[in-house]
Amino acid sequence: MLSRDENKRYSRHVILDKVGMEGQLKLKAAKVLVIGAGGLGCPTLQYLTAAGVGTIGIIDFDKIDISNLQRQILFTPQDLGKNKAEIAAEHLKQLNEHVIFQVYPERLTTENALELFAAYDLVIDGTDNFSTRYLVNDAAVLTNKPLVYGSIYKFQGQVSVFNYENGPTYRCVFPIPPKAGTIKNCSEIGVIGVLSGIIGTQQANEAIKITLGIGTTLSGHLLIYDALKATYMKVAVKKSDDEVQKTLDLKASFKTQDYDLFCGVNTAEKSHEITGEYLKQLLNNDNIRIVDLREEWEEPQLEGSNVERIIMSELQEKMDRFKTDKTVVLVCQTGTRSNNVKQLVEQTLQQSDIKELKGGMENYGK
Amino acid sequence: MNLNIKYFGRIVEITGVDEERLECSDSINLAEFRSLLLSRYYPDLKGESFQIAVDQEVKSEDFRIDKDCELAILPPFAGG
Repeated sequence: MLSRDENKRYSRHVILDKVGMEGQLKLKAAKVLVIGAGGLGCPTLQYLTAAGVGTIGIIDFDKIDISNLQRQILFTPQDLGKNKAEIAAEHLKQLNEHVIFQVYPERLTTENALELFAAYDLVIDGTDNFSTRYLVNDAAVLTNKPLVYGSIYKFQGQVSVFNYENGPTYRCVFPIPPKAGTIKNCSEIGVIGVLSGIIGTQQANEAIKITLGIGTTLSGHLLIYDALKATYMKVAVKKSDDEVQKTLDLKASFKTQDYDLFCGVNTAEKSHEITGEYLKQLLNNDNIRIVDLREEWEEPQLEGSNVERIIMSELQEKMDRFKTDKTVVLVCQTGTRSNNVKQLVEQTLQQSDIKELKGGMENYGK
Repeated sequence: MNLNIKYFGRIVEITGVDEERLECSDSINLAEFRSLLLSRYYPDLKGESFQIAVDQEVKSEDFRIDKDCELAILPPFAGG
């Protein structure tokens, strides 16, 4: 039931035949999680709040900076230095007192993602880096939640709906992250402020359609908007069962996945051991150099375009192969050789970002 | 055949143009097109992650192009 105030507030929705009282109650019952209260998150949150989505979760660890105000239109100069999720909720409450806000002033991690996603019906990705985008996708797949994707670059934006009604996921469309060292965010490359509003608002629209069960969503399509040309291009994208299965296989080891490593971000300070399920994800990823230290006859074989074999007797002569900007992952049969070689390479080349397969290939795929 | 190619996102930083026409005499699949683009035109595209849409449909690497079409070179964007 809607209160008298809500009835008046949502009257323009309720008279729409595709929404009606039934639809408005669906919105009120909905729980939507918005990841990131930045350029995309702010407009999305404003429209979802105004529309009367009953419960809205906001997660963001970041603080408000004066350079955010050009596009993150929920914030004012009085908010500088404060947490984005907390301040966003504070302003949004003034917009609509009927909405319940759950605030998470923290980073989304593999530790908290699954539990968090499980508490919502739908997730909206408003993050600003590839590592978190792959994390968000995988958590959405593992908890079986529809994901509304939006992203921006300078004057262009992308919108889609993933993991919805057996449609494609983010990994089906972008299986391999861009090469390391070239990945920059808005603060490094710039972005036209109004674009965040255009793309973020479209994300809110997709979320509302999914909640109401009306219209046609962007599932199965990637929408690309060019603000300079004022053109849209809508391309069809397909589900890849292989990519979805690879994500589902991560279920047991999700909490130990390293998404920075997957995206080629420097991870020198992190754990140096990776799991077999995770190694599978890194195959054919040109950000990573996988070195198989085993003899040719050792089973199981490891195949991938980024795998090269350097057996122990060739180690000294091929030491240069370890001198690279890429993250090196060492693989052997039981984990002994890889551990020795890791130490040797680190001492010889003063290189610190060397990973190894935990327990070797003996445990791979078991 | 004529290929009308549209580049998006950071790919444009490498190509310097957002749209161009390339001539191609024989039918080629997308994997061959990808290596042609890298070897003959834009070596700096090496390591870039992008999908290729043929006439508004993302196709797999073995899809064969045999007539005039529009190709969109689509990298993911990270910003938010």
